[in-house]
Amino acid sequence: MLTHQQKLAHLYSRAGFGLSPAEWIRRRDWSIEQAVVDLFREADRTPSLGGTTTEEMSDIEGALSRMQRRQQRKQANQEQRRLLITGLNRDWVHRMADPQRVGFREKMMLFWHGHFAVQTLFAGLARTYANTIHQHALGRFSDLTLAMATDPAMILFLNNQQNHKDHPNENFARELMELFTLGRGQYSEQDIREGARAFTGWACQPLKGEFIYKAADHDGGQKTFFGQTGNWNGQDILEMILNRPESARFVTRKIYRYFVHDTPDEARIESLSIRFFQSGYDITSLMKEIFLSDWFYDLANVGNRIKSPVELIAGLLKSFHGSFDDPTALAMGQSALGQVLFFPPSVAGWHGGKSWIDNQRLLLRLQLPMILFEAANVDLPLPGDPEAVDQMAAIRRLKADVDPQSLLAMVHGLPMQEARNQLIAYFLPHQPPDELDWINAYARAADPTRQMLTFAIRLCGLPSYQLA
Amino acid sequence: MKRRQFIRLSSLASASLTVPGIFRRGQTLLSAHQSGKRLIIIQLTGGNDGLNTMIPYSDDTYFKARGKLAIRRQDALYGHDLQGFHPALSGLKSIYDQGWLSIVNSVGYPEPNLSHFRSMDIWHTGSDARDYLASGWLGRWLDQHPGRPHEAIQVDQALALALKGDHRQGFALRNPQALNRAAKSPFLDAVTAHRHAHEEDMASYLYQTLAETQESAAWLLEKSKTHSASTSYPATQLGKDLRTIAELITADSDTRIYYASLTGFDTHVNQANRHERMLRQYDEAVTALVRDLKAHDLLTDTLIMTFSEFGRRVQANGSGGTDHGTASVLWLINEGHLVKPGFVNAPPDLIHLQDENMVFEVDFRSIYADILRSWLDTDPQIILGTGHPPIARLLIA
Repeated sequence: MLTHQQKLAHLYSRAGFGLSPAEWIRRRDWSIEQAVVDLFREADRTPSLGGTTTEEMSDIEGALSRMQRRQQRKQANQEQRRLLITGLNRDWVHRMADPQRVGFREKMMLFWHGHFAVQTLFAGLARTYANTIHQHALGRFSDLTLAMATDPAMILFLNNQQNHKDHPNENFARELMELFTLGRGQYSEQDIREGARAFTGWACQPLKGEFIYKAADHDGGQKTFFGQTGNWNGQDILEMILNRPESARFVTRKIYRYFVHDTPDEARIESLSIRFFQSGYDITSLMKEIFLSDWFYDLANVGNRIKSPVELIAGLLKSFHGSFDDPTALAMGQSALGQVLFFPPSVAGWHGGKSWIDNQRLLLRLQLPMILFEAANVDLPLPGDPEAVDQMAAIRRLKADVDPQSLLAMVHGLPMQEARNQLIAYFLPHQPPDELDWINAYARAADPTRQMLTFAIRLCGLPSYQLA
Repeated sequence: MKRRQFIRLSSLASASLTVPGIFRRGQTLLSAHQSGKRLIIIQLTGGNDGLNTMIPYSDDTYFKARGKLAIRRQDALYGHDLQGFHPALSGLKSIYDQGWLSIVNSVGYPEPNLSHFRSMDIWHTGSDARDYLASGWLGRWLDQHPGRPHEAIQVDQALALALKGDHRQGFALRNPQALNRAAKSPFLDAVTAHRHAHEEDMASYLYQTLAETQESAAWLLEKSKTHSASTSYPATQLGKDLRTIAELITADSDTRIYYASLTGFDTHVNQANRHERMLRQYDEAVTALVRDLKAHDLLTDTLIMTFSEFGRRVQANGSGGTDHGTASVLWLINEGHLVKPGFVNAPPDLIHLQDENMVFEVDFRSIYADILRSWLDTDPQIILGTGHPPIARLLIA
């Protein structure tokens, strides 16, 4: 059985990226109902991405104009793209790590980014795509799917730009059914061919980042989809797909595996998906039902999910009030750990689970808190071997800022043992504190403050911290 | 002198009479105990231009399509009347002359994907172009062969999908020294020493991975000290990586599979110099490795496969380079187990193209299947599934 605080911590780690120390103190006695209601309230007030970066943009523009004078235009353009997209990437991660918020909408966006996976190097298209996901992340799955079918980054990535009346390209139609809605085995090759014809003419203007419907390039002939014949357009196809409860089951299973447990509980998924289907694919009701259910807080569902690299980074930043000065450093860190935003490995998204871990990446993950503090030039008595860090040379340039005051305030004035217990409860999912007494020997420091901080960083260097 | 040792020495001695100079230099008579066959995979990342690697110099279409990028017949290293080697591949040409090289043209798969990442995933997982698998072909082999964590080693910063199984994974390291430094701090030792019986699957998985990493790191470091490479390797990253592999092989480290890669083959612009440089890097490193293995009498039990995620377009582009293509060339190096040393099949067909790209002739999975059956003692269907083209016959078990 979990304590009430353990349940709350579980909710916040799954629905968001954990809480900052200050928010944890403020909320740790809330009821589950209160916390869940607040999640959706916060999500309603989450501004879209990119609204805050005007200043940074002009910094980047300035850097670029200098660069353009020195280098060839083409190279500068590539650089520009890279800087802009890493800036957007950072903006999103900083939102996840916002110390005043849970980051529920950002978490949903991360999930949908892996579901409707798109690779793009164009910052403008990435921003449109991210904000489309932002808009529909807790709305209706049917609206989100339609929005993705008309999203320029998606259209380019899945070659719908090349899906012509005379020469259809099946890529989008196939992934739509296989990966986005129905799942394998629920449709025929004919459905894919006919579905692709219905999406002909769904194109975009890449430079403007806008969807365009090219009526002249649309195949207006009769198509037979799921055995029904008619002059179907893409929208009709989406409707026919989502009229099948299999779509609701497929998406519910994926949400369950992401937010609850990697091993699907088919009976639970079935009952959740029936209501998801009946609600007209209302994502908000589905998520609410999950977070308010008793089984969500079963011991078996707690602390057994490996954080993705982005979740790990965001969680650390949030706990230590960290931020990245240099967006490139963040992107390099993501790359070293295996998850770069706007660049999932394929349209199937990130595989997740154990695939995040190999022997090298586990070592890097365990050292990450120490690396962040070293990068921020915080002088702590952590005998780090600088060569050990060298295994990922790029990550040494992380250049993060950290400010652990809020964490220290959480334990300020408490007796040492009590302070340690508080830190353990804050950082680790249901870990009995007496199992960790041995850490004291590795957290010695001249004064109590630094000792607490060192202890905290040690906790984040444990394999258990990799779990949410 | 023991009889066994004498035979080994004498066979080496007679071999040295017939091998050319480059394979004799630095030869030592140290021989490692070795337990079975080993596989080394070298990945050329970025899409290696197969047409400018093994030059089809008897095909006019090649010269028309490639223009200034074409390697002239008089510059290429002679293989046979239809095909030869890029001039930077002189070491590989010597390996060919020894009969230790099998070259397979036009290797690919149906419905080719022109994205680096996607096509590499297809090669790594051995899937159809339409399938998305979460595990790699060598990872699934590991699943079938419970052994030590370092049963398969990738010399790199992180593990490729090819080596990730559903249950087991390969082991990544840049070199044993660096890994050991990273894995061995007093704090990490204490973490492992204090691990509790964790009920949750994932926690025990992480603690176990850490403990195994530390154990293997120490063991590999110890092993790598016992033998060192007998030949000099180029100072390039690939040279260092292959040297690490050679050290582990000669030290008899129980590892069956090694994986290394060389990046930089995405030659869209000004290809000529860049491609030449990349091939030279490859050639120097691999020649050193082959020389070293030969010196240790280990080339018969080691198979080296080199591949790339795709080849490049037949027609050169307007920037002195070539764009993403489809089928490409793959080659195997081994002494004594190649069914047909030399060029296994005809040069690529440059006339009958599909969307301006070559049509594959040999499915890469038929080669995987051959390697799995003949080299890794495994039923290929267990690893690759059913319904694939027949198993290639490149290797003598």
